[in-house]
Amino acid sequence: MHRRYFLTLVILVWSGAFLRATDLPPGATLLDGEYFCWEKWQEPSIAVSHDGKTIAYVNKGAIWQCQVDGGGSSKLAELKGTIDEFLAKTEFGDARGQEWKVRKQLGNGPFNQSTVDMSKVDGMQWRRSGKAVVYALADHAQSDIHAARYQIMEASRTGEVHAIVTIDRDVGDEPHALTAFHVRADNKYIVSTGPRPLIWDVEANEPVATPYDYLLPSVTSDRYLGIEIDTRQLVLVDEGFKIIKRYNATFEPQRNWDLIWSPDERFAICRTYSNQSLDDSWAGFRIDLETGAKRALEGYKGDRFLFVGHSGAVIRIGMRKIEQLEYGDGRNGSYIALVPEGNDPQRDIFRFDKPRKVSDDWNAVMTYPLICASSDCKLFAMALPRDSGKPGYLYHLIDRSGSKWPFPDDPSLLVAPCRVLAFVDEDQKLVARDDTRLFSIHVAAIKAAAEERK
Amino acid sequence: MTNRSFWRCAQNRKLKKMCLALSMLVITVCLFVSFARSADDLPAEAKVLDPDILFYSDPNPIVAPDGKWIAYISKGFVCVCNIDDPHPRQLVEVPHSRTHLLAQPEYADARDDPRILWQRLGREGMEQFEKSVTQTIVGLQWTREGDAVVFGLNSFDAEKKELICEVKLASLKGKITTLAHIRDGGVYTHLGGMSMLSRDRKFIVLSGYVRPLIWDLTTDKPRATPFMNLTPSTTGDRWLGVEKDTRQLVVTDASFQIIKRFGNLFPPRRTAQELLWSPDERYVIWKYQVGFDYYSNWEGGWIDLQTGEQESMTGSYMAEIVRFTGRGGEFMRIGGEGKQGQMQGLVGTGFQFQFFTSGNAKPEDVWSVHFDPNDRTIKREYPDIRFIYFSSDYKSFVFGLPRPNQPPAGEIFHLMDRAGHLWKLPGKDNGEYFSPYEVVGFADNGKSIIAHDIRRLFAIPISAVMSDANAVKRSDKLE
Repeated sequence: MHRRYFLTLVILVWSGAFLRATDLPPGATLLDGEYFCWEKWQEPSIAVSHDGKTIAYVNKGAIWQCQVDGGGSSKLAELKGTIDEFLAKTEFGDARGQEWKVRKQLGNGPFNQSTVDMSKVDGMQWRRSGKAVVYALADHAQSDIHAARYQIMEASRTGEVHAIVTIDRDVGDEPHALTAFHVRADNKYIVSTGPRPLIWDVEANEPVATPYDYLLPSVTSDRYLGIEIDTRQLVLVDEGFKIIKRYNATFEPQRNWDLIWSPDERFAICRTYSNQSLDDSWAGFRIDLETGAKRALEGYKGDRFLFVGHSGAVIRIGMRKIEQLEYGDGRNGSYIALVPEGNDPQRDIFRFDKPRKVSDDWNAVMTYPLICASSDCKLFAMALPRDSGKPGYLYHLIDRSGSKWPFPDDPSLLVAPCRVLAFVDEDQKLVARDDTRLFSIHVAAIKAAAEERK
Repeated sequence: MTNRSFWRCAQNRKLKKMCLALSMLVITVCLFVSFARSADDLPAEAKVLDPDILFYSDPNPIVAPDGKWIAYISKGFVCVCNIDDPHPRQLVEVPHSRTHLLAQPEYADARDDPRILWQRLGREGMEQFEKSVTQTIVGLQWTREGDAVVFGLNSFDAEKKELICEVKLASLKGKITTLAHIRDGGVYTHLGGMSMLSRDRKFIVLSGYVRPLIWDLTTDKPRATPFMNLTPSTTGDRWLGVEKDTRQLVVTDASFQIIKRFGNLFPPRRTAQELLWSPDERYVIWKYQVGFDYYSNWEGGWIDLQTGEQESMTGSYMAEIVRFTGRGGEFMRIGGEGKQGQMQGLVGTGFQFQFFTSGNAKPEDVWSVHFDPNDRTIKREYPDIRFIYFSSDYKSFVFGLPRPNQPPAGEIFHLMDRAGHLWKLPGKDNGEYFSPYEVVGFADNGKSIIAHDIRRLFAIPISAVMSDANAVKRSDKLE
């Protein structure tokens, strides 16, 4: 007991000193003091290695890596001829890498003209071994606007960069765009995953007939969960892309589906989205792939599911139904819930609803901040509307029982005190960013500071 | 006698009876004369196969592979008739199909002219009538052995909002088998179009909007079909296809396992939209539509699978007919030529009816016309490829030519041989769109033409057509 208080005291003293020096949240370690970042909604801009100790990120026209406990960042790969390099030019310094600001500065036409031949970094991910990152240099403006080229690159920690393969997609090819991809450990195949998948034979540098409408790689093996074309049946696919098991689950013909697969490969969530325009709903089920038992589920686009342990229980991160003229990014109401194993009812862990009448200033928040979960799904970082009713959000740590620990607030910020990107280092730390810096924060420090403020 | 005085006299009871009898006689005579004239319209050599048909649009009558039988839909029945021994047989009754309804006594007045139905029932009545048509017969075809017919019965499951197709096989011996119950949202497949029964009768391949779909008849379920196109061999049990994603031209065995690959022979951005395979399985022709609309030009090629020799092909209209004739790599091309007009689409500049001994051979013109699209004074007389029929040896052809004196608009059917000699089908112009009757194909190894008028299905020996009396002097430059 005394040891715990002592540790907390040490962290508070240490973080307090840090905060004074750098104005970072308590317990924060600066990882990159000049971080230019623009993010997609609900997608972290960093890739965390499988051991959670290292992150890779795109910044100032290069890919960088750094240890989450500090010690400085090092360059993994230059990104010559990319939009990221263009956005990092000193003349756009004020924009700090944000595309919309550079567009505003240049005007849409000149911006498009300047960037028409530039590629974009896509799908950056660590190899399972943690020895390298792979990413795509996606170029959608080859000989004409409909053709696309994807250079699948590998950058090792030792600084070697090489192209694994270059994939050209032409007009009418399906899939035309490789929205997400999976590089096999043996480098034999690249698989464009998700809907309309494509298996690419690296050695022959040509596609392989892909009789699937959906392919989802396992995070622990070289197997895939898929939906077979025409039969629309849920199937298990081996590393040679042969079907090794068929499940008692078929899907509607509209091909508007997705799959979520538990890391132990035993459970899956299958969702079919509505085909009606302006209808974001989906209906689906969780299936035990061993017993075939199903549990019906339904929800809205943007729901995320994270499997917990080996029981099929799943954490659901979602948003409430969007009303007319509301933003569909979760700012109007979000929740974290537990869908237990079996058919027990879903249980809220935490939920907020935006008050009906609020200031327009709320809409100045460009996107509702990402809700992050620890790897064991016992702790979450979630931005909640300020208790004071002032516009903007304050991040909180929330545990499975619904207890919450607010981050220190800065009323001048719409999202305070930073944007959390991921839990790292065995869930002991968070990686977060503000407008200029990338840093990691001790979870314990945030909790301790919150307790102290109480 | 004035009219008035006549009717006064007619008040006489006896005279009244006489008038009635006279009226009946006149009507009977008129009907008899009408029927007799109708019968007289056919050439003396014509053989009536079915004297009482009721057709309605698709599917058209289909001649069996041996040319001895014809299958057709009449009065809501799937019927067959032997051409040598014409005794029509009703194989399968399809209640709630269109012609089944039209054959009911309450619609007898509209049997020959559907417009009467419109006049009698009105808009709401017609809507009710259309709603009562709940089954549609599609894709009528013969088995390769000619021992049975296969067809689909389309209906709509209003509750599930799904099209349902029941595929049936009816043998000449009278046995009816349901091959498949196909339910599909219609994303890839359409159940009314082309479907091909495999030789071993284990699969049906449905043509699709994007890709074909193999339907396994053993399990009555679809099978993953990783092909962009599938064309059956007309002589074996193999299939020619283009594999999905790799775009490789492949040959599969009867169970659709790839047994030979010929590589991706297609230029970038082109693949086979139409894939033709010569009966000896050696030659391939593929077509790909270039533009957006149906009238756009096409690109394609001719491939000798044995030597790898290739020739590129182009055409003005995707609707152009290209067929292998069964004599090695020889093929024919029939269709219009066009050039880009001032507005959207192509404007016609000519017509070609040609044979080619191989992909790089010079064409043998059977019919070739070129004209200035702006010159409206030129008579554009050439075969209408929408209504063209070939004998099985591709030596005789029947097609419509525009009626010389229009209106009424329409086509007069003609017969042509490979040398380009042309004969008008015997019979008087009936003023209908198809005249003197509508042809549906060749039978008996090209020795007969099968045709029908509004009431009768019949066969006419082509020897009866190829007479000097029917010979027509062609207006194009070859004559």
